[in-house]
Amino acid sequence: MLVRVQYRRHADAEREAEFQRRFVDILSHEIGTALTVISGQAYRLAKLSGQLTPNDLNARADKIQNAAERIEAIVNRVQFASSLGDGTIPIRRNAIDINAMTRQLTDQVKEQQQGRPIELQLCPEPQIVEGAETLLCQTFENVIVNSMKYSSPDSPIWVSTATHGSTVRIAIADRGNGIAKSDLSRGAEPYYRGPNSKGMSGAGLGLYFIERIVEAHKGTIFIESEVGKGTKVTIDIGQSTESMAP
Amino acid sequence: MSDRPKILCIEDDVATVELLIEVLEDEGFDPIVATDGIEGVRNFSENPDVILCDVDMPHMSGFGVLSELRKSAAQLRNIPFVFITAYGSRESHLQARRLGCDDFLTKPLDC
Repeated sequence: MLVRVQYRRHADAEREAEFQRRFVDILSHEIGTALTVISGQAYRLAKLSGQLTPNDLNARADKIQNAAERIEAIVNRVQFASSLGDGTIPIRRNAIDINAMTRQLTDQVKEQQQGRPIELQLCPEPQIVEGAETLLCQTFENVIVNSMKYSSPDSPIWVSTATHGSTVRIAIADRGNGIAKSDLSRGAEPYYRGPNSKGMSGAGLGLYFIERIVEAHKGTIFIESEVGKGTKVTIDIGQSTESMAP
Repeated sequence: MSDRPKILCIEDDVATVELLIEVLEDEGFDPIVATDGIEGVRNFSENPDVILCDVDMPHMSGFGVLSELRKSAAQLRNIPFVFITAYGSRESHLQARRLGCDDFLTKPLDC
């Protein structure tokens, strides 16, 4: 019994050390890369001052700005992850029509991704849930953007909504790189980045965020994936009791 | 043909690559660019004098590049291989040392 407890403590400590190592590596990489651009461009601006055209000057200022925004985004995500981890996630629930949210979100993503094909298949009736609109919207956006990130630019993303028993089901599917089984089981750990994500900016927090937010809405998430074939993410969230038929 | 020393820069971050090219050209080097590990291994055929290689890259990591070149290119023995890394953990540095890199440049780079 004592051996088992000691073994479990040892395994927990190793897991904690692994999280810490990933956290340091990802943060160092993301912030270090952005800081290289900021400090390098600042140095070049000082060195080349007087020789630069206004256009060149603006282009360099934009690069500095983009790099600073990259750092800001990662700091925000880490702070948010920390609030998820300690259970302080603030949920103010309102009635939300998932159909309307999904339509608006896909329009917005299409515009940002310059016409990237998204095939939308919405259930004809409104799909009402009780939840935090911003968090749910971020969750679906995160899944859709990930599907785009890990599939070829001309490959469509399928987004659908449906009633599934007493829940609203949102499914997002792609024909992208897919995720290996071993990475799928680790994907929800904070700061874990699978081999597919090498070279992509990010903190390894996407799936961790998604799972915590779905969990906070008492929902479930199911991911099916096959390497080289694609990934389908299915999220079920309980229908608003007021919207359910008597 | 340029007689300036050739530096093979393997780095996937576009803004960093642009900066490296500018600084290296300014300092009298001839940069050869690769934006992922596979392209980096391929561009080794251009006979660089030094290799600067990022660690975290798509398709093949910097560690993969060094292992691959160690296996396939005997002449790598005479060419300094320097990792550009922002990885702060001791394990990452040890792994790079075990693979036989010559040195590290740590991000943020001082350009």
